[in-house]
Amino acid sequence: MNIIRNKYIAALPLAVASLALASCNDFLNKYPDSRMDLKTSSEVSQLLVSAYPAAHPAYLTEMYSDNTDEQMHSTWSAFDRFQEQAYQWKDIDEVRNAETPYQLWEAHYTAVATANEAIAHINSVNNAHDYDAQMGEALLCRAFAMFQLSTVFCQAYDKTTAQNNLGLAYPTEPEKVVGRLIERGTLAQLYNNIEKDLLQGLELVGTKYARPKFHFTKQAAYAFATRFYLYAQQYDKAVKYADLVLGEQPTDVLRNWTEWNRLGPSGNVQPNAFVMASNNANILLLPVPSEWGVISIPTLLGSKYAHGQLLSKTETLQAAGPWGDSGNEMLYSVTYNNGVSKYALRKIPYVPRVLDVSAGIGIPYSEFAVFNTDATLLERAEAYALSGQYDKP
Amino acid sequence: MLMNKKLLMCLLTLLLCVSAAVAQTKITGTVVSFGDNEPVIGATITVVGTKTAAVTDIDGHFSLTTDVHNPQITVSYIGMVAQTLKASTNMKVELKANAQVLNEVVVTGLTRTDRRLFTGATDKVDAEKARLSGVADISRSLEGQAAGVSVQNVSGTFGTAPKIRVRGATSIYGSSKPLWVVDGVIMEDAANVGADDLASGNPETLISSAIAGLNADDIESFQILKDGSATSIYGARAMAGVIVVTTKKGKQGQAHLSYTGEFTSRLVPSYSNFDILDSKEQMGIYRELADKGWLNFSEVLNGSEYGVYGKMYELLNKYNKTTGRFALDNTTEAKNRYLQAAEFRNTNWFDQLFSSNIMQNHSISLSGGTQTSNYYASLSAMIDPGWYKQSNVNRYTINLNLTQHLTDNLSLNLIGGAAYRKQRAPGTLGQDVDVVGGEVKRDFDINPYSYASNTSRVLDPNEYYLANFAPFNIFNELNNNYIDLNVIDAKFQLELKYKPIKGLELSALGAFKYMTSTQEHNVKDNSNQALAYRAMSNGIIREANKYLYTDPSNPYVLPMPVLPYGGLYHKGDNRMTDFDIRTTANYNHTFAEKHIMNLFAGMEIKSIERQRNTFEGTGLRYDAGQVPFYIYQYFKQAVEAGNTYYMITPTNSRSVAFYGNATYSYKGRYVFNGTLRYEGSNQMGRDSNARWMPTWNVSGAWNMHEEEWFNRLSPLSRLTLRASYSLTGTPPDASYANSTAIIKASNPFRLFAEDQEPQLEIYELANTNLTYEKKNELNLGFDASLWNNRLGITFDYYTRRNFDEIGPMVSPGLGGQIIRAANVAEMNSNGVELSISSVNTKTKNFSWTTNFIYAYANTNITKLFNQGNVMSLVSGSGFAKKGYPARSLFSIPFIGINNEGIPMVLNEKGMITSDDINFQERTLTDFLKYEGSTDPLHTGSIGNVFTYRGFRLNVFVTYAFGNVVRLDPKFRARYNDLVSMTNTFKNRWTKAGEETQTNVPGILSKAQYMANTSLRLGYNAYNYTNLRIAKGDFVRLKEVSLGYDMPAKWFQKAVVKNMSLKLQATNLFLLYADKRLNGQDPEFYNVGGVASPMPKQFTLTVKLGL
Repeated sequence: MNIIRNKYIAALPLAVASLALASCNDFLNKYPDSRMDLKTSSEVSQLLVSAYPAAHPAYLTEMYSDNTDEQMHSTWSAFDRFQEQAYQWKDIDEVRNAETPYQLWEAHYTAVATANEAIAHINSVNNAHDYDAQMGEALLCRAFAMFQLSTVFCQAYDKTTAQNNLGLAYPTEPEKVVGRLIERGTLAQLYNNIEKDLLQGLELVGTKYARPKFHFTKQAAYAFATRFYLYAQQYDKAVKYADLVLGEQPTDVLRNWTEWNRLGPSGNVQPNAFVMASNNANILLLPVPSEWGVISIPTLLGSKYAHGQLLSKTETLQAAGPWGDSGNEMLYSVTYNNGVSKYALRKIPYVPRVLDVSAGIGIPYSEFAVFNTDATLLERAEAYALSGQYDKP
Repeated sequence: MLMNKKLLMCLLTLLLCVSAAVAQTKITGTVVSFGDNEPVIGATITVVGTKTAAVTDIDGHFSLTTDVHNPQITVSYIGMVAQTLKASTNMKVELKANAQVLNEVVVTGLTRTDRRLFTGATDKVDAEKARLSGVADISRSLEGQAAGVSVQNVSGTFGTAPKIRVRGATSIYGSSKPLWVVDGVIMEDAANVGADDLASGNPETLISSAIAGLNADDIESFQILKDGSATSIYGARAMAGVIVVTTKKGKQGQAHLSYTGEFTSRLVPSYSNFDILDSKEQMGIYRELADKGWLNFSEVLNGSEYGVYGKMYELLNKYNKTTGRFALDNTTEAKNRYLQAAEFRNTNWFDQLFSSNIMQNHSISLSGGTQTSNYYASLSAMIDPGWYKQSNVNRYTINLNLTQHLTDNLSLNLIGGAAYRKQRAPGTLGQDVDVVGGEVKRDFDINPYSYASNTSRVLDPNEYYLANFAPFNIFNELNNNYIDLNVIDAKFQLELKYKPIKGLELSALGAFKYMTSTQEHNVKDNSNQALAYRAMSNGIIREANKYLYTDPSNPYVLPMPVLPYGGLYHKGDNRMTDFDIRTTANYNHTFAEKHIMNLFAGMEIKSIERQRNTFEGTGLRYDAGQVPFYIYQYFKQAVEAGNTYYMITPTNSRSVAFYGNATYSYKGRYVFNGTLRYEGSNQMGRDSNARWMPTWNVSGAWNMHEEEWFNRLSPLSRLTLRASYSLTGTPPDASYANSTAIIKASNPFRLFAEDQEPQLEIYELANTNLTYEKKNELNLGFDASLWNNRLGITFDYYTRRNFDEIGPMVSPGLGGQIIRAANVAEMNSNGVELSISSVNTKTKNFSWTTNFIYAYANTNITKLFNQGNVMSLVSGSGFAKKGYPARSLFSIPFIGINNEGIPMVLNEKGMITSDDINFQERTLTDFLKYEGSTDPLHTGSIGNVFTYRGFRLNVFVTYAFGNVVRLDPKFRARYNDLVSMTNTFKNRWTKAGEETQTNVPGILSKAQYMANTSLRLGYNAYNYTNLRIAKGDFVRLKEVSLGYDMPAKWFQKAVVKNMSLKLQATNLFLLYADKRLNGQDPEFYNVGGVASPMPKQFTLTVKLGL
């Protein structure tokens, strides 16, 4: 064989190797599965659909608060260990329910992580201004999730003590390593962070959504601001934003209770109507996994710790007030039955999301009207009251 | 016997030239092999008493001179019996093959190395000897053939892969599956089924075997690479061992045609091997149920399933207007008569559903060659009418292997093959684990094996009972609810080999493989599953039938069927393309006749694209022209539930690797070997620092038999000591490929369909530190043979440390996941392997050989944050827990039976309870009692082969010890009239006071159950207590075969040149198994679906050669 040919042929594998080396990393850059990169603003919008917390602490906070009494009756039992631990203020080590601290933590921080993912993407593109509406929504989502979390894991905000109370870690970037640690900071710092995101988000957020009631519209942002400033004890700002929500004639946007009451308490009729997106009273709706829809109503489930007759008649739904006896004056009818001592308004739906028909396995879902005009009105009233303006309508 | 130039190049030649004294005798001759007269190249001729030696050349010629008077020469060659003869000129020496052939060449798939230069732990398995006739999937034949390779036949259905482990598990969350290499190319699975899922019975397991398309007849040998030294050239993915398959090639010479026909009959299982009550005893229990308040009229008739009692009530309720009477009179006598008929029925479900029809496998191969080319072609057809109903398989394969030597140093090898399989399986859905109630079940399960072993013998096979609110009859269901599987795989491979200079061989290989499988699950109009969607004969059933749909938009609407006509059509496609390019260079040279050096380098690029499509067709009217009829409510329901009616899941796997290997040997005595491989994979995501992984190995061997003083150690005829140390790694399982965040589309939950919108969500947070799972391994071993290879012993000891394993880790959860997967777990393992083969007697006509194989493999997880929940730790094949083997089974501690016959167990809080246990508990799992590993610790086989003239008797026994198996869950809080029970029930608690004498719980009365429905948790827990576990130890008579090779002289004048017959009995019986199993097969997981055990079968094999 010719020596020169030998050399060429011997060099062939080397040549191939070096060529391959150069394009190796390109070749290996293909994703192993069908994950995606964010590329357009509509994709960022779709990502933000999941930036809302998939849990709501209502069940937990109701058990914790004085809205629940222990009903001593031989056949009435707690729904599960979680309810028991929540009511008794024991350490909650259950992790299965959607409202356990474990799952609340995960759900809200997931919302924050999703928002951060969107924000990181927006910061990385050149035409960031095309994404203003998405940036606004992302910031509001982040602020909202942290705000919700603070109602569960932090002390109530008080100007005088906020610097001494613990806050919560406030991530501003997506998590890239396992076990990332961020300082908890103080409650004051937490509220500052929330406020910063809230104001910036308010400015940028838009109102053009396919399903506006499930996203932060300007109205929802104002409602959020109202609640936040009320908690943060800045009452004038709370009033200012409440006015923006309620407008000149609040009765136009408030819920029509008479009509709602006419629907009757059976089945899911009232709860479904309560959370209808078409109802103008609802500002922001949050569908979450929750058993609260079935535990709060007069069924045997969870009947040991319930909002019972005593509470209803003396403190809440049917109590006496400046307007007379709520049970008669108010436009709602309280639902109760003689089997259990649970008095409730059927505001909270309960829908099982079936995962496997044959096995009968599903997840219970509910939907909360997180911000609604009635709540905003009451928050404004509270702001007035706490700032001493008792004569405002 | 392999004779080609490549082998010659790699062979060591001891060539000591000593100048002779003055007077010289010239000795010349030719050495050929006995029988085919082929020249033996490289045989050694030594003059007795001197150091003079020569080696035969390519034509078998040798010549040497000596000054010894009346010299004698010894002619020897590896694998052949050495001869000592009187020397002369022009001798013709015929060497006979040694019955105890030492594997002279180790095939690693990438290289072929001389055994003497190989430093790794490896086993060669001759396909012909190992082959289990009548078992078409060749991977099952490996059971007990190589030390350290454990093959667990978790399901015998064709196409399902057995659980193969080489040296135990190497990954905690990964699958520890060994790599299959066929003719140098890695064989990929079409659908990546993890080792834990192989025992699930799910339909995906039907395509889990990567080599089901390989015709067993085409395979020449297996080489199993076990330790790091042998496998490190394959780098990642070979961490769990490599099985190298070499297919037959043509040989130079006349064309040969060979035909093999196998005819197999499988025994129908018999009730004597099972623990099931006969109909009389079962009826007795039904009567007790009726007495205890169950089985009353309206409850049963409006329930979702019923058996004999329900049928009786149905007849009582059926009014015939013309006769004016009901189908069955409502009198005690009529009812008793009806039940009595059922009592003595004793249906033999196995006879009804199984048959011993004959499975045939025909294979024809043609091979031959000339000096410059050789070819091998084969065609096979396997026709299996099915051991049980709806399990027929037809498989056709074709295989071509052509080699052409274009010039002296350039050769081309072309391999092509295709296989087509058409298979039927009983219609099945995936398995469900009810983690809340603690039950593992599968709905609509009509697998005949699990049906026969779980169904009461009281039922009439021709009658329609009720299941899922709709009429049910097993035969009607099997005919109307089945899966059709069509699998095609084809491969195209081309290899170019070029030898530019002496000692250097370059090769380039390109291979393309395509595999597609279509799974069509046909649920016809009249099948129970389809009728369940329409069952609403009265208001109670309408409310109770969960298959009906209640429209949430209309609050006053009644439940309605979403499938008013027709049936269902589930389609699942798996498609895979696998593209491989490889170039290698191998240089072999001997310096100064003492220093042998071999250098090997190569690079490889691989790209595998898989796609899985699923489609749920609704309303297909099978009996009316296959035209679908669907209503919009079906889709509304799907949107509201967030279900997809079709889905496409593509995955890509790409890798690039560079590797090199250097071997140095001094005179063949001392061998040093080093391997380095650098590879990158796309599984780590983009731009990750951990994408590239180096794996390496250093090893050495001392071939003591090459030492001059070795013959002092007789009777040792050969002794090699080996040692190796390696680092290998494997990319984490595909479900953990999150080095960048994984964002995917999904459907959010919205109460009303009109609020639905598309969303993207984060499926996995990013872990930029994701890296390969790694393993360090030390292997020490020796190969010895005594008495001139009459006794051969191979022994290996290994110890491994697995680190950077994927495992759960607790984090502050600031990304929304408190427990995340990271490379934080660690596991140690060690073991020994021993193979002994001995030729016990050998005379002219008779010989007796014994092969004994034993292996011990032990794993221990040293670092893991335990997150396995109770359910996964107590059922199936167990799960991982720190301080225990890779997969261990635990039990819920049993306390006793209380005075009501209810079982009491210990729960996660340390309390004794009958109704409060959390099967989903993840943290407090220390209360569980450790039972053992689910992978056997000791495995092996004992094989005895007797030959007498042309007869060959093979008795092959496999054994496994050290694992535990869960008994089938039979106990429940409420039973219905369909259930079948075991003999254990005869010992059940029946009245107060018996709880001191028995451990079997009683049957609850209806009142007891309704007072506390949580008692079902206690009964389900009983199925997973320490009482319901058995040892998985077994000794199985795997094969007894008698074969006869007809003497050649019968065929001297005929067209047929040779013929042989063999009769084989496979899996005949278990010589030993734990009595507690009561007939349950220790290897098989009776999970229904498509799983079925390995049958006992008889095979007749006819082999013809022309």
